[in-house]
This record gives sequence, C-alpha cells and structure tokens, in this order.
Amino acid sequence: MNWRERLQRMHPNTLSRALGWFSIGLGAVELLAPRGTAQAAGLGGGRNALVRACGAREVLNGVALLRSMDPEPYLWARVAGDGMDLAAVGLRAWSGSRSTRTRAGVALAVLAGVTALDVMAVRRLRRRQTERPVRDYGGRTGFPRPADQMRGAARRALRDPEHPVITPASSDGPTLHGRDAPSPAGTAGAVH
Amino acid sequence: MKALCWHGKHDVRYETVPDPQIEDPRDAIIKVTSCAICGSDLHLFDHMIPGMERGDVLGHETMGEVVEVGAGNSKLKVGDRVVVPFTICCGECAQCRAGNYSVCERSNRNKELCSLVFGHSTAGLYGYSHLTGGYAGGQAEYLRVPFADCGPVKVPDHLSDEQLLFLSDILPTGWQAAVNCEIQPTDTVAVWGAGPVAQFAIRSAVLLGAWQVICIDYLEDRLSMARAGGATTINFKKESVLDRLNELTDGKGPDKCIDAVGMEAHVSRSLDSAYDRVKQALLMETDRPHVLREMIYVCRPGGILSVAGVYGGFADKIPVGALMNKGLTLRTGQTHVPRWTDELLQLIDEGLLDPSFVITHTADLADGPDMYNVFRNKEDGCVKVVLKP
Repeated sequence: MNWRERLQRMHPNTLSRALGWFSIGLGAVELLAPRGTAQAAGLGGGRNALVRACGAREVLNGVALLRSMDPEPYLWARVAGDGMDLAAVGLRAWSGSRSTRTRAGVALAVLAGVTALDVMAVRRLRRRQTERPVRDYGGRTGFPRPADQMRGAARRALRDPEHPVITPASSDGPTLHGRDAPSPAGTAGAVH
Repeated sequence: MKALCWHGKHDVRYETVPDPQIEDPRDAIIKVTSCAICGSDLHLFDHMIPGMERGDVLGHETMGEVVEVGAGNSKLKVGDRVVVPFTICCGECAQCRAGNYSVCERSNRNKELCSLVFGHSTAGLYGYSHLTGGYAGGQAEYLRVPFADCGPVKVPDHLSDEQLLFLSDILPTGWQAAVNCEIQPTDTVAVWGAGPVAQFAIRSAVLLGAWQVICIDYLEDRLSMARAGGATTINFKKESVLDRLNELTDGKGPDKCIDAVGMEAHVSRSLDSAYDRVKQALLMETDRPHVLREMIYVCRPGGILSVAGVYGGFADKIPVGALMNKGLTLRTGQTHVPRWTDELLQLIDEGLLDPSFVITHTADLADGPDMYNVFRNKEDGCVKVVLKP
C-alpha cells in the first residue's frame, strides 16, 4: 500500500492526531531553535520572538488536537495559523534577496503542502460527521421478553440439580461448572 | 486455502496459505462455516500487541464442521459441528484441572517468550501473536485445532451459526466479567464500553439479577443496543460520567464495575487520556488505562472491578491508593471459555438469550480486509462482523 492509499484510508481522527503530533514537533523546533528555523524559512535574523510565538501556538494547537474529542475547531485553528505563516513567509519571499527568496520559496511550498493536509483533514472530518448515520438498535434485545422481565432469569434456569450453577460465594472466587464441562472434580466453588 | 493474514499495522490481506495438517494425534481440522472479527483483533490491527509476524493468520472466533480427526482423538468425529474456544487448553495440566483454562500450562508453544514478558506462560490462543503460541487463526477456510478432545464444543444442528458462534469468545467473556462481579440483587453494575463484549456483559448482568446496569460509551447506536438489553446509558461525550453515576446511585457509586474497553481507551476530554496519548507516543507506556482509573475512582468502597478488556503491556498512574484504601477487589484474565460454555449453550437452547442480536454486518471472508476497517472505524453502525468463508 503506497502513502497515497494509506492517506486515503486513514481515519479522519487518525489524520487529526497525526497533525497534532506534527504540530507539537514543529512547535518544539521553533521554540528551541528559533534562529535556525527563521533562517531555513528565509525570514532572516531578528525574528526569534516571532518564531517562538509561532512555536508556542503550534504546541498549544497540537495538544488541543490530541486532547479533543472534536478536533474540528483546532484543525480550523491550524488552517488559520497556516495562513499567517504563509503570509509572513510570502512577504519575505516578495521582498528579500535572491537567496532569501529561494529559501522562502521552499518554505512556502512546504507550508502549502501542510495547509492542504489540514484542509483535507477538516473536510474529511466534516464529511464523516455528516454522513455517519446513527442506527437505532433499540429492537436488538437478545431476550425473548423485555429486559426488565429477564432479571435473574439465568439463575433460575441454571439452578437445578442436573445443571448445577454456583454462586460466587466461594472464598476462592467465582466459578461456574455445568454438566459435562471438561473440568475435573475438586474445583473451588459453592454449588447450589 | 484462503485466509486473512496480518502484514503490519492496518494491513490485513486475503491470501492463499498452506492448508492445515494434523500434527498431533489429539488434533482435528475443521472446515470453517463462520468466523468473526473480535475487538481484540483490532489491537493486532493497530499493532498494539507485540509478537506478530507478517503472514500470520488472524482470528479466534470460529466454528465449523470437523473434517479430519487425529488418531488419538476419541471425542470428535468427522461431521461434528463445533464451536472452537479461543483459548487452547490441554485439559490435563494443573490449571486446566482447576478450571483455569486461559492459563493452561501446556498449550503455549512459546512458553519461554511468554514467561519472559509475563513472568509465567499463559495459554495458547488462535491467531493472537507468537507470544501466545503462534497458532494460525480461524479467519480462514480451515483451522487446525490442537488438543481438540478438550476445547471444542459440540453444538446441536437446530441452532444457527449466528446463535452459536459467540460461544467461542465474546459471550463467555461478557458472562465471566459479570460472574466475576458476584452480582447481588441490590447491585448496580457499571459497564464501560458498548462494544460486543460489553453488550454481552450487560445482558449477563441482567440475567444474573443485577438491580441496575449502567453502560458508558459515546456511540449512540451502540448505546441504543445497550438500552435494549436493559442498561441505563451515559454518553461520556455529552455528560459527566462521575455526576451521572452519582445521580444514579444516590452518590454511592456503582457496586460493581466492568471494563469492557481495555488498552485502547478512546481519548476523551479528561487530562489523563491526553497524558496517556503523550506517553504512548513517546514509548513510555503501552496501554491507555483511562477506564481502569475511572473505575477505581467511581466504584463504591468494598466493590469489585472486573476487567474483561484486553491489556497488553504497561500502564502507569494507576491510583493504587484508592484501590487499596477503598478495599476494592480486582478480577482480571482472559476467559476460561470451557468453564462457561455448557451453561451458556443451555441458555441459548432454552431461548433465554439469542446472541445473534449483536451482529450488524455479515460479509464474505474475502471482504475481511475492508471489514476490519469498517469495524475499526465504527463505520455504518458497525458493532459486530461475521465472516463466511
């Protein structure tokens, strides 16, 4: 199975969690190595505070994605963050030197890819939520009568001399042995 | 023959494998008529259980017809219709003689490996990693059954496969979980999870006479099935489990708690489940024991915790202080299937329980790989999948 097929078959929540971990990883790098990150993205020097702020945002967003039962708002937050990052790097690519523009161009391409993944995750999540029908299994009781009339029925049915059932009053813990069970004599349990 | 084989995380394939052979005089070969995907197969599918090898045949919920019998097997004959318990047991060792079939001392072919991990060996299981013997599983056209004069349950022809198949695992597992609770007529039993094992645990608790049964999950379709079985339900995504349990028990907490979730608890809004996620990702913890923690916290002092859900390795932040000081009893274990099958077969035969209610999807064995995804992702209201070779 190639990566495209894997991506297609990946559950939306799994994709969201993967993006959450990615967010935390990227955030950690931005927090710990702001200068290197800024240079790699073509932002140049003197942007450490900005990069660290982005890193903190990424980490918080990632944790929220991992914690949340409903990741959609946090995925939208990621998309918004992607927009901010694209704007910041894009401005630099527009106005910087040639080498800066090259680095910023690569960073823009990577950011665009990540943004596409974020948008895909949101869309798949929404599609899944809207498409998932809730089945009503209210008729699947498994009992011949309403459940409230079945209370204790097994104790009554199994408690006869030919089909001994033990109740779990034994100090050795509960056991239940029936006719022809392949368990030898001597097993603990109070037979009723 | 054709079988479903494990090839890695989220990679199950329908492929051709060698036909099984009689390897021991006590063996039998069965032609599989029905098999099922179990929730614990999903732990393999998610690669949460160690010891799997590429090409391993999956499946441990199987029934069929005997087509070949070893020379030393006097219990079975060709043509018998049998359900095969997922735990392989010899019937002769000290544990089997004590009724503790899931810790049979002889059936695990990889005792040393298992002992290294667990301290002592447990029983062999079908299609459940090389830690449990590396036996080929029953999601296949044919299955070799070792110690076939002990485990397999002969079943009558007038009951359908759908009524009988779950004697192999999930029905006795739910039943054992309830029996372990020592249910009294005044008891409130809380069941975490609303999957197939939980559904049977709910019905077992009702049949054993619990005053009130409460089911905790977040999938409305499964909760509707739990209500049909007599449970009051709590959707943990919409309401506080703690508040609702207190409300339903006059603030005393449930007397008995059943964990039918296990090692892959759903990530909820609780801080501890996020913590488990982080630790698991950093390989500092293998299991996510959110349910276990919550049970210890909410259970009434002096109560019983019954763990039916599968755990595979290590977990931390277990509140042992609460466990000890509240005087809780913890009961666990893979299911000692043959201990319960006769009684359960009697209940089915007398019409008191029809286990087929849990089946939501039936498919050809060839569609197994897709059904793993459907079941795992809980798509299309999927609760239980039965496969037909």
